[in-house]
Amino acid sequence: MDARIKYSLLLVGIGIILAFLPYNATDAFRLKSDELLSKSASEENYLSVDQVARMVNKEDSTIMLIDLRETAQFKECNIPGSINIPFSDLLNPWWEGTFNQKKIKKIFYGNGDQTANCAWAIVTGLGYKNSFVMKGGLNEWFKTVMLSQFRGEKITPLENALYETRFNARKAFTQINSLPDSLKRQYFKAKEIKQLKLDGGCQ
Amino acid sequence: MGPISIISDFPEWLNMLIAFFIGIGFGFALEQAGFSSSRRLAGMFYGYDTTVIKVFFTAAIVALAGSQLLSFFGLLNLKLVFVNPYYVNSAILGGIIMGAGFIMGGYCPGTSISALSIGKIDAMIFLLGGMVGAFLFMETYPFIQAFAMENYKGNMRIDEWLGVSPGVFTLLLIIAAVAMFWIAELAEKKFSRPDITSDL
Amino acid sequence: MNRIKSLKITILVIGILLILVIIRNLDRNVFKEKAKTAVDAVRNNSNVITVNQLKKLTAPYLIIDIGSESRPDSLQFQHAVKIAFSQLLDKANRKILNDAKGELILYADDVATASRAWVILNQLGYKNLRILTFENNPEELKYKFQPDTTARLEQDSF
Repeated sequence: MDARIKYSLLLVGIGIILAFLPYNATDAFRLKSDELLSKSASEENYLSVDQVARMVNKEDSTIMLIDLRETAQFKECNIPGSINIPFSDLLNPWWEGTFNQKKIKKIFYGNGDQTANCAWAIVTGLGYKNSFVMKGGLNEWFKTVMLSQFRGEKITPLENALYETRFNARKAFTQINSLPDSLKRQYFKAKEIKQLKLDGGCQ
Repeated sequence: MGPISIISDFPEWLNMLIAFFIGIGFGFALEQAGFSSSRRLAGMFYGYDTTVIKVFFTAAIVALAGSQLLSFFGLLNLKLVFVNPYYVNSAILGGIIMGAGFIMGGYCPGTSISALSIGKIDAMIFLLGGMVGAFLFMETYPFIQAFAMENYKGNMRIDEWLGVSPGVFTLLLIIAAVAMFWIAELAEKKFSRPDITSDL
Repeated sequence: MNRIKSLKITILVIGILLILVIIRNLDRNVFKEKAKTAVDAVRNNSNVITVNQLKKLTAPYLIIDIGSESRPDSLQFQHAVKIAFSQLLDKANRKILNDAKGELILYADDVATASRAWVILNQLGYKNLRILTFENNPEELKYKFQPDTTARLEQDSF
């Protein structure tokens, strides 16, 4: 038989299989469920607010803080250096360049623990590596970093270091979030540019 | 080589090396398919030789089916595959200019480099013309920018636009391609130019 | 007959592909739901149930208690099934989840664990799956930021 007919039949046959594929793998998680479960059960992908505060103070360029709350809440206050990806916008293709940065630690936070961990599980399940959750979210940040106080006569060096970290992070947080709206807008614009550069890509 | 997940952790130089070898393979395949002759591409327009449509459409449907299957088996992340953004005005006007150039010159940018590498003089002239065109485009870009950027549709995909799954669209395209091959062969018989094709 | 013989390789390739696709589809470890279903459910809050809502629930339900081995028995839920988080997808536990009638209510001491378990089970296709919470809105900011109007960026750090 003519080779052309053979190839045509082969391609049409594969096309029919493709047309009846039971689910669209592009929209589904890429990790297998046992892989995602063992990653989820590990404690390694949680960061405490003190760890995050230390990174913020250092202006660590290998991390990216991702605020999952709605834009209005984000504008009211956010941890210095974070970008806003509202949870409802998580699957927007625009953010793929952000999530796909393998060498940058992506740290998710919301107000509590639920949204951030759902987002973590979704992003990790989709196959993006190096994602973390700030344990306790902004509520824990306020409780620990913004409002904690040290009392008593003696203070150990360890406590002193912790206190210094929290104090500096508190100061940065207050300063940036107290800026008048116009200056804040400029500040966000500057961060957006940083964000675009990270995206890379062909555009 | 980003989207293929099993090799995505390769170092940059190895990625580039793989790209280099794929490039050589592509050029070799073009040459072997006879695309280094300007008569082939022109023949597509006049109907006496339809190799171009057969080769490129076959490549497209094989790649389409292959990438769908690799994605289904979890080996390829289609989300990381770049989708060309669609600017309607630029696509139509650019398509007309490019198409006219392909017929007159007998090459497309890829085949002209393939022909250049085996020393064809017309391919050198064609490539020179292409570079002059690129230079003129860059110099006049500020004047045509508004027109070129108009009617921007984003990263559009036909399957999403039709509202069918990528698999169904692949099947439709394969059927369309097979039908087109059949018509192309009929056209070859009708417009045959033995004086030209015997040289190819 | 001759025709089919000459198509041997074509049929073989298609057959192998078909078998591979079926094997992949039968793999219960592969996620098949759209990721969008999880995002939508979290967004419109249909993934949580408060204790008060649970009390009013008339439909049958099963509480899955995750990762709470250290908790004393007196604080356990009645009629709850205890499953350690890391063994959530073991064969026996999957059977419990599959056989359960009505709503599946996830509970863990730590909301983080429950949320992650919820995403995994949701994406494996379990419906009627909710996280039990004691607060009405766990995602509410309990603090109010007090801007410092005298703050200037120039005053450098400590």
